[in-house]
Amino acid sequence: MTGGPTFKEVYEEQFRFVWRSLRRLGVRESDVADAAQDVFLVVHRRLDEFEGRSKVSTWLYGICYRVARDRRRLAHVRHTVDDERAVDERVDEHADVAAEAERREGFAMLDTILDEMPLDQRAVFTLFELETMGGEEIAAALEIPLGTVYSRLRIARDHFRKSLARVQARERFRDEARAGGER
Amino acid sequence: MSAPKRWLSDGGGATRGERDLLRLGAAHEPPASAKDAVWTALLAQLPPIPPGSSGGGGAGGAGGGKLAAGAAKAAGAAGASGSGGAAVAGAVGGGILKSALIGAGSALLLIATYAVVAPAQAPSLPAPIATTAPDPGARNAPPGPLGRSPASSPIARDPSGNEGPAASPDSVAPVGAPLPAASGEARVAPSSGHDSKGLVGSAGSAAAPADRETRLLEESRRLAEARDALRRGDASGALSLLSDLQRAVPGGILGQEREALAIEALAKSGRTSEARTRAQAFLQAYPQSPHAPHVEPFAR
Repeated sequence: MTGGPTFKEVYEEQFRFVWRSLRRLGVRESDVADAAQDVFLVVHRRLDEFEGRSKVSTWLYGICYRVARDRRRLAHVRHTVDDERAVDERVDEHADVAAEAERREGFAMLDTILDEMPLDQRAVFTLFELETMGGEEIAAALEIPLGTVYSRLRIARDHFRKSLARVQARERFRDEARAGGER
Repeated sequence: MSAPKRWLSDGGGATRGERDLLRLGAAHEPPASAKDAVWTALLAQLPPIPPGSSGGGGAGGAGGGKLAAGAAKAAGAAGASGSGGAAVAGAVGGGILKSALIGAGSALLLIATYAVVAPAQAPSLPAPIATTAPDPGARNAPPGPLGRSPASSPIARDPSGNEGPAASPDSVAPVGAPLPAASGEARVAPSSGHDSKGLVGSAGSAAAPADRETRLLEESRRLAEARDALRRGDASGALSLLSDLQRAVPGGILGQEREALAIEALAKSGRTSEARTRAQAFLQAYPQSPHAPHVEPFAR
């Protein structure tokens, strides 16, 4: 016994991180519980090999990345758009239908933009901007040099910026067209 | 190589729109029930920890042999889906969550997915089923490019039988998508059986992110109109907007929002028994939906 964390402890402490990571790597809402199971099955099998050489979170992220990548390859899952976002997001008792819908439209928009990025850029971008992980840690999680982290971040930001601008431009165009049509 | 500033921090250089969207993403957390649900499902798949084994995390000895869990799951799913019962497939495969959390349609689809990757585990099924697969091959033009058709048949056939239209049309979407998808799609295609035109339509729309985006914007805009109408007290106007939307984008990304609004609009326009029926159906299909608490009162 190395005195490392038990499976249950890892699960308790890291479930949310795993869930977030999978979502941010493009695993759909309806699919994420399944993907999280897959991740923790690997964790269960490999926990003994994890010897604390890295942080648990970086080790876990590596597993999440592979699970998400494999799911992406079976890409039909990600096109079940219908039920996709449908299932099971956080329930906020105070939100009314409309507010909740707007929130989810935002998620859908974010997904759409992130979906256009290659997975390796997406990983760096979301770890840095959303998970607020440090560069060194990202490098460890993805097993890439620090310089590569920053160069991917730069490209991913550029990508994000352009995609969002395009989406917004279309929205404006649409609104104007609609306003015109109503006259 | 100094670290760049984060976009969400002060002076990070992001625009307001960028920050808003990122902030939303950063706050995205799992639903409260997810952790326990996944844990329960995990327990069902992990080998029992022998009593009195040297504790220490339980991961050790126990983890070895049986945890070709993915494979087990896949095999279970493939086998069961071949024999017909969707719910059973989920349970047998250990993917309890699939049946519990996910609408049956996507459960089937997931199962199909696993079955596709696990042809080896379900070798006995294909032959008889393949002959049953009735659809006049006309479907996706290249019928044969997959070479693995035996695996495809059970999938194709089963989900269609049970759970038609909801999930399948979209599942078939990415004709132009990355390779593995495309071949998988072709195989899943027969499941949606009769509405091949739907297939083509949604295939085109989901294939390219940009198209998906367009579709999403369109849906989003029309939903907003219906919402506005409802807020103005124009329930019947809202209803007709929503049914237009349903016709225009039948397998919409925001289908749940549409239905939740429709239920509310029905109730407000006095059609309470319809509202009740649809609310009950909604809750059955999406018990975990964020809209469930709002829909719930209409189901009574």
